[in-house]
Amino acid sequence: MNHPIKKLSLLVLVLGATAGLTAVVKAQFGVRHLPDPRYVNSVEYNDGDWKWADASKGNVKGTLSFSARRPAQPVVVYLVRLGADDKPGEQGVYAPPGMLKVSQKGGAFEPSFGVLARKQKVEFLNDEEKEISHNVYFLGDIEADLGIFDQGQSREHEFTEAGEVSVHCSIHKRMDARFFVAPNPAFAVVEADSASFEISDVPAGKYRLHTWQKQKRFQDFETTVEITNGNTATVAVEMKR
Amino acid sequence: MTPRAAIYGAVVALCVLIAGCGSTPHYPPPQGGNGQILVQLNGEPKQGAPKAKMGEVRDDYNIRRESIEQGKAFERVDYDALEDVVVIVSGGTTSLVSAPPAATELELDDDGFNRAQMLVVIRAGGKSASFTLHNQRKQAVHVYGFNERDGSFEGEISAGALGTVNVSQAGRYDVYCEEDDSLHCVLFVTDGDRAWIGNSDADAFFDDLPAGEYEVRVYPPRLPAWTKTVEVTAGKRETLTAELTVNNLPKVGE
Repeated sequence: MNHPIKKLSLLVLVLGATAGLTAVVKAQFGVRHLPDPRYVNSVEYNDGDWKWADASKGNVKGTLSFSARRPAQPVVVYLVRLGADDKPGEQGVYAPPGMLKVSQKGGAFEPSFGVLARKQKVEFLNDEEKEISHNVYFLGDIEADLGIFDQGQSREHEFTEAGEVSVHCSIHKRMDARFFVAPNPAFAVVEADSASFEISDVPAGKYRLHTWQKQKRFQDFETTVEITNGNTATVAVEMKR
Repeated sequence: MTPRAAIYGAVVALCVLIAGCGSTPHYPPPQGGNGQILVQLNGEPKQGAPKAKMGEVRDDYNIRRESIEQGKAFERVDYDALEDVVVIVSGGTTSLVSAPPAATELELDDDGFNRAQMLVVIRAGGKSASFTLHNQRKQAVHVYGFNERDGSFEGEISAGALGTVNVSQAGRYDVYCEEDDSLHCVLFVTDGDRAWIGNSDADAFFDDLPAGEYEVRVYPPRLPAWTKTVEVTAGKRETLTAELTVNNLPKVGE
């Protein structure tokens, strides 16, 4: 062991191990991006304790006009209930729409686009015919990771906050989808071949009407609308560039 | 110095050199009273992501094993070679001189756009920036983009033609195509910030920065953005490691 070559080998080994350890320590304690563990970009709404089922109701309808060529894409018209200070108020307690089921067969989310009401659940089902695993994660206004699940398994998620969400699989680079989560069930999806909408059975009160576009080409429109019992308010939605 | 001590010294120097080569790229040191920011991009695989299962394929003469995930729909994410990562550095005490754009051409063929993200720069004193779109499809396409600061563009590009798109507002544009709603490219336009676009196996190096506080934003396609505020001091280089991963997202329901 006293041979200089053996000592040299030992020194190289020790130095190599030290360099490796230094790299590990750097990796563990270097600059890290730790996102806020809540949905930082989403809009948080309060429900309050009044119930949609008990409220007197009205309707809102309208037409959409476009200042330039409209893409063949849907536009969502949705309502945010306002409080006494004309800011978003209590949205009320309602029974959310039924669960949206999303297939992952063939390496694709189906449907790949959906409009949800806050508190609505989505089930992602890995219904592949072969032993293929999938993941689901969300980016955008709501960010979360539902994990990896194998063939035949599924994941449910309740969207408790509102906003725009892009949906991806961390394993397969072409698996993408998009959701828009409205603050409450008072919304209408205006398909590409239509320019009118009607939202029925909305609890009476003051609302801010907004638009959201799946592929944005215009400034989003917003206006205040008063809904009264048994009546239908009319809105002209102008989509401008 | 004894021969043994000389050997030990040489080995130590060699080890330090090797360690240095492996972790720190060679960039010029800061000059004068300015500093630097070096952003190392670290694309991490998703924790727990399984490899594709292999199945037996029988030919007339042999049996081989192939992935059961066949076709474009099952193309796998490769975090080791993320393309088109955009890094933007803003802030400081003086207006920054924009760097030249690294990618100004977008190609469209039957597989879609060739880039997930692009970057163009409105140069100091300029009113707009531009990029070209090469339509390699056999049909004309309408391409449009929009951003919140009242910036928009749209136009028709004939089959096989090259179109130039001008943008006058800084910001993020989502670029779409009317004829194919699966197409999407994100265009970043900067007008006063340092910016860089490249692959995640490279570093984003920003030199000659006046001392001050800067915000570094890293936008990898299809992954969460990464941000960090850093104080740049004269004569020093700040080295940051941006983790490009979904691993840090809040875990729900696992």
